[in-house]
Amino acid sequence: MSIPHIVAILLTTFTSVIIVLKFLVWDYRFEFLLPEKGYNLTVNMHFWEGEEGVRISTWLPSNDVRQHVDNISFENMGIPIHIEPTEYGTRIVWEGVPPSASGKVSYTAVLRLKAIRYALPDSVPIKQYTTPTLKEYLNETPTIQFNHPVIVAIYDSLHPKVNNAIAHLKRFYEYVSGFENRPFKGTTDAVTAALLEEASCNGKSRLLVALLRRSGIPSRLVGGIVLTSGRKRTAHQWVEVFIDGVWVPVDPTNNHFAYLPENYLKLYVGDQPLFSFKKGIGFRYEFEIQHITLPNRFFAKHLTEHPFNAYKAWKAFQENGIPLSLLTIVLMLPVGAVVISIFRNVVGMQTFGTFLPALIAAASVTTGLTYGLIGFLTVITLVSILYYPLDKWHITHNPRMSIMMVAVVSALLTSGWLAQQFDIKDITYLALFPVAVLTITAERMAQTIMEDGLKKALWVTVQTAFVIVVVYEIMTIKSLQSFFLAFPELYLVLVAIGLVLGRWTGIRLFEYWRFRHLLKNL
Amino acid sequence: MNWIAKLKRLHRELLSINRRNIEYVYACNPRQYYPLADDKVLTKQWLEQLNIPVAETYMIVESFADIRRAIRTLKQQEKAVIKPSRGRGGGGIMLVVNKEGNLFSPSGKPLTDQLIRQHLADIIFGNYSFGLSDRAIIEEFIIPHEVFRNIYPEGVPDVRVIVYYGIPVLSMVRIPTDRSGGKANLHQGAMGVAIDMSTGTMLKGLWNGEYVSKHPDTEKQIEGVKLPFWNEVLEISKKIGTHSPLKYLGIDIVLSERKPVVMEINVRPGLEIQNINRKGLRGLLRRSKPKCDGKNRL
Repeated sequence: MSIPHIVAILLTTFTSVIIVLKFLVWDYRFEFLLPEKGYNLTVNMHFWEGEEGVRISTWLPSNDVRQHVDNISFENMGIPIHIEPTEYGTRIVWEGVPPSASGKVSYTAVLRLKAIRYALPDSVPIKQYTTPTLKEYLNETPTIQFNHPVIVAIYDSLHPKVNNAIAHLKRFYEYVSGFENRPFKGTTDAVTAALLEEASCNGKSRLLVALLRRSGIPSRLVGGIVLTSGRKRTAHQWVEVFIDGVWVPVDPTNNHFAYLPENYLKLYVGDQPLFSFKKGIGFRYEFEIQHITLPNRFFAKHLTEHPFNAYKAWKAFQENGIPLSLLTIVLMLPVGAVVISIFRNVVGMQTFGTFLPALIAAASVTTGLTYGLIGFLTVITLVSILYYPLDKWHITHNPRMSIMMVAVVSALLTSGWLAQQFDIKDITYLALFPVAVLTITAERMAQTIMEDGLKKALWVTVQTAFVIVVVYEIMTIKSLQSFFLAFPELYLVLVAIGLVLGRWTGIRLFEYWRFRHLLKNL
Repeated sequence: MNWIAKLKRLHRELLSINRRNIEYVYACNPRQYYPLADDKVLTKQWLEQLNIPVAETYMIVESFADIRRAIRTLKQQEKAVIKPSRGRGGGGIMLVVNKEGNLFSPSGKPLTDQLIRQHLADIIFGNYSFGLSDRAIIEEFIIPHEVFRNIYPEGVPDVRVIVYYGIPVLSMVRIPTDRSGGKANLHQGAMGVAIDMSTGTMLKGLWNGEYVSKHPDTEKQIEGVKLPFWNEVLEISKKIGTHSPLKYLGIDIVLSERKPVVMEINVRPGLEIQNINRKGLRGLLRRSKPKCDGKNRL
């Protein structure tokens, strides 16, 4: 075993020891370090024929034990909004005369949700509830008709003859959740659901509430959205039952008992619609849902309170206005470089420059990968074309590079101007591209074209682009970033990988193809 | 033979680029001696001391002050070559033919004083040597041996010999083609021909991914043709390899009408020679000499 290998093993061992110490002695916790899953929800409300004014209202998500709203933003078209917390949820109303008869208002919420499970006792006696708020959830309503003969008959045949709310709930839940699910449009009342023995979420929920209220157990409908990635128009309703002082969720449609999955967003309680709007206007809604990764809310606090991590170093940068996101991507550059050396030395791919793909990937974090790649390709193509006259006129190396750098900077400025002309804000970020690196790359590209032909240059460009994409995907993994911030000693592992890679004498993957004739002839 | 056995054999025989760099280039060629190979002026001086034939140097152009004299020198010779001392891959080489005091390229294009001055300035500015300043060599225009002129009339074919601790291990001939534009550069489309090391007979050539017996453009037979001066080629290679502090080398030799002439020494010789000979360098090197210790001294 050679010295570099021994050093690599020592570095890796040292790093592992430090990380273990951090967890065992210095009380680091994964749950505060790893990023959290979240959702981006946009609720679009389109209206038309609103010449005489519109009035649209809906419910905004609010915080509770299992859901947290990170951020919420609105698109109002200049229509005044009014937000009001109520006992049923947070109500938002757009009311006014819009600048045009048709248009759209919307809100976008960044959400963190958790699944929750309630451990129910075996037996809870049914009490007499007298508080007005709870009494409301024992009332008969036009759609929850628990004194209707149909409901009464079902109740009489089902209800367990014991004073135990849990037994009642279980029995009714089993009965209603046994119904076929049907995507009925509009409102289905409890009696209709009972007669059809099939219903959509609101019909089944109303029937369950009716049976529970008949037993004297406070219960209510809950409205919200089941968050699944994509666009959809379906909202959802389920039931909450008041047991032992707590509102316990029950969903007879998707069969969740005393449990809410992580992707349930609760918006309001009570038997009411999710949207209401002024009569006479046209109205259509739509949800857009994306899965997103959010930084851990306790990350900064956790790292500040614990020793030996890169977050503490950032504090110094922070005072000079450098955002954590920028520092993070700089911290990920060595990771990108290691990935590139694997592509070059193990796979045998050729890229323009060793660090260029990592730098382009880093720059693409602000522009987005698509614009980053387009920008990279456009700039180096344009500038490498410039190489030809410069070469033809025998412009010597240093002045040639300075002229090409002017071209790169001009290309980046032009992209900013185009961005403004065509209102594509994202490409303004191209100005953040590493100018020197692009210049050198453009020169190398031109040289490759001249010495090895266009085909070869294109092939290297394709490989470079491929490596940029992979490096970008790796450098933007949120949990990896958190790890390097929390455990900067991981850099020693990168050094170890470099040492092993640098002493690796094996055959590159592409060499098996290059020397395929030898495989036949040896 | 099954595939696993074949792969194992490939691992034993093939010299991969990683292994070449780590076990041969880094280990056998101390970096402080690189200029001996990379700077042709130094290479030629050193080879002349060893009495190894090189192209006759007419002049070394060190600075702009020398350019006027360089043009005079060119006009005194019948034929000459201008090349950068630290160029690579054959870049910056200009062939000059003198016809009654007027200079032309071999294809007949007139070379004005202005053009030659410009070219020499480009070389001195380092345009062909990674932006370093450089010097230009004006030297003898070597005419290849008849054997090669019969195969393909243009360009200068050369013999590459891989030498390890003074032992010639593997060899090939690079013959220009129409595609390579007269250059003996494999990247640019020249043909690589395997050589039987013991007799100096040319075997099949690799061109455009196929092993062929004839030149692709002239259809002249290559396979079976014996190279002239093969013993001298081997002697020269052994001598350089023995005296050089660089122990893993690619030596480029042009065979002229009268003798073999060493043109260039390479510290990182390419690996394509394995494809051309259909032989693995790793096995050949292992069987010829133990590993380098990296402690070579001149």
